[in-house]
Amino acid sequence: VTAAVLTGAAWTVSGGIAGGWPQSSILGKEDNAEQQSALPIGTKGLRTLIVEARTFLACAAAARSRAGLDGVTRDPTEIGIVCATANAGLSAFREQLEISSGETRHVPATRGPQSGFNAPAAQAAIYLNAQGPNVTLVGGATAAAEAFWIGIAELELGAAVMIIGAVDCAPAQSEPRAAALVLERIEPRLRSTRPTRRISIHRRTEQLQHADLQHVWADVDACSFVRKVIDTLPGSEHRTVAITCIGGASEVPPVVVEPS
Amino acid sequence: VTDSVAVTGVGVCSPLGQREEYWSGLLSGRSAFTAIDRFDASSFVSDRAAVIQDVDVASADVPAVTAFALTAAQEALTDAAVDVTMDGASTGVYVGTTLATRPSIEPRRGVEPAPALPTRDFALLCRPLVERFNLGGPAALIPTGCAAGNHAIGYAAHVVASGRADRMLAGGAEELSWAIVGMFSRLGALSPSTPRPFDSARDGVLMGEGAVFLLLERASSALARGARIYGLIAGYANVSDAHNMTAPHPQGRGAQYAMRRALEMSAVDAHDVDFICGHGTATRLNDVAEARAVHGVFANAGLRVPVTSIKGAVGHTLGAASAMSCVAVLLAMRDSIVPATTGCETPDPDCALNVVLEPREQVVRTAMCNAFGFGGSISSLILRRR
Repeated sequence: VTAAVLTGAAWTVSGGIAGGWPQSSILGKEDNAEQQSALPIGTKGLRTLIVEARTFLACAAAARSRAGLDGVTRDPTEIGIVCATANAGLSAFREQLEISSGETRHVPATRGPQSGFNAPAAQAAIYLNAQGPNVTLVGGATAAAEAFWIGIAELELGAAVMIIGAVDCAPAQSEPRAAALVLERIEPRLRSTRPTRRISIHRRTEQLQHADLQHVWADVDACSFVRKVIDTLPGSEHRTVAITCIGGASEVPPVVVEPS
Repeated sequence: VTDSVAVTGVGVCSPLGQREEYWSGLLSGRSAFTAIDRFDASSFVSDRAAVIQDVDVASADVPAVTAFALTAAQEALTDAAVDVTMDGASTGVYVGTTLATRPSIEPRRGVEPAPALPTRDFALLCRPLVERFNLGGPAALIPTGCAAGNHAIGYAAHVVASGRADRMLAGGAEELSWAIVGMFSRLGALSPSTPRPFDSARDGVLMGEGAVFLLLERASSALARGARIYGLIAGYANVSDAHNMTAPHPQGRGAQYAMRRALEMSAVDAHDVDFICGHGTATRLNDVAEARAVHGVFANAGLRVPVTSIKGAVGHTLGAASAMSCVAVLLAMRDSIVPATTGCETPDPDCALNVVLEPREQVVRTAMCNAFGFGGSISSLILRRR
């Protein structure tokens, strides 16, 4: 079993940053605007980002704030990002096709490399100066669960802080959805200074018989899976909650949430 | 990642052919570039690319990238002499890629483009591998650009080392994309002639396509079943340059950190590395930044250690590129010969690397495989001969 502590999280509601933890209430639009303006990027810079990158960056920055890491000096090489997505960069890819066929002009050349799935994680690393591991996984809930596995593995291998999240812009939706959370290495000082939850992931599914409550999700998207982990607050009756996803082509051990 | 993860199978689907043809092509200095006939590239800086000719893309019932991946995976499994269809429950697959199946919506000669990508298009690359080979272990697409193959291999090694799966197929797959050839052309990264990595006259890269898979398993398991071991995955690092979406950090900051971290993880001293398979895209900025990073890590040994790039032979295969480099390293270990950098004739003094200009007979005990991608995605893998 490997484990880490969840110290902060943020997610979108209707496209804007509207929710966060460890503050239980849902923030209003004013807070959303505040979060957006607090991004380490100017208006001009924002315009150069594809919408999925912008949304994921805003979420990741808000999660970092919630974790109390703003202004905290850390070695940037110890901070990493893992992002799960089904379709990030698709609109930029279509743009490149339109340019090649002569249908569109005046698209900045810098948007081209954002046609890859990894644009949100890459842009978040650039603007948050996260020089540690940077990974993107493609798929639905299984990709998000895999993101937890890789994030926690990187904490084992030496990273101090991993921002794990998901972003998607479904074809029928005008605005993307995103969710991000901050996982940190387990250190005794964390428990006394900040609210935390323990997140663990087991090597193999069969080792998880001890969980008090098992949530099994089928065919949900990556954002929903990350939100499920964020929203899971073990109570007195169920102290250990295991979240498993079924779907896609992968077997991923459950993500387990416990009180710290 | 520990020394206990062994490579026991190697599968290649490349513009030079499958594993042994790919290897003999690299050793003979062949370059696989031909005129692109799959789509109209006449408006780009170059209409040439390294294209796979011996897989019938037009009549395949899966996207081309998936056909390449299935071909390479089958060769890796056959090479490893394991029948996962009978015992695939604890075998998984990690696939590095940049675009996955996105090119299937592009206009192509003789092929009707898909009207739109299905919402779950990613499944069109990963799921056929899972279903064809009955894989029940972890399965994921890792689309981290040009460093994706290394990422897939590095994380798959961790999956095996941690005991989460007994075996992993890991590598990368990519097909030629009209949009991406156009993008490289517009970015000024496409060569109007031919790729010449680390050469004074280099003027850019040409694109390629292909797939590579390695079969990873614990060395103890491999030895117990009498399997041939090509090499061991000794260490791995994945970092971000956190600098710019397109340009590398001028001093190769992230690249230096990745190399140092991979060496540290594998407990290897830089002086013990006897071969580097570099990223070597043959673009002006990348090759110099990579060379500076090598010198930053290896100091004086940077002038001595042989460096090769395979992109002058097979082009830039994006998500498959670093996995193809890994194969070059593993086969160099097997045959004790280092392939030359096809296309390089006059090494650039600004790079000041020991670029291999002719195939060189030498024992390769420890090698490094580097990859750098758009978005600052950087990975470094250390392979060791058993």
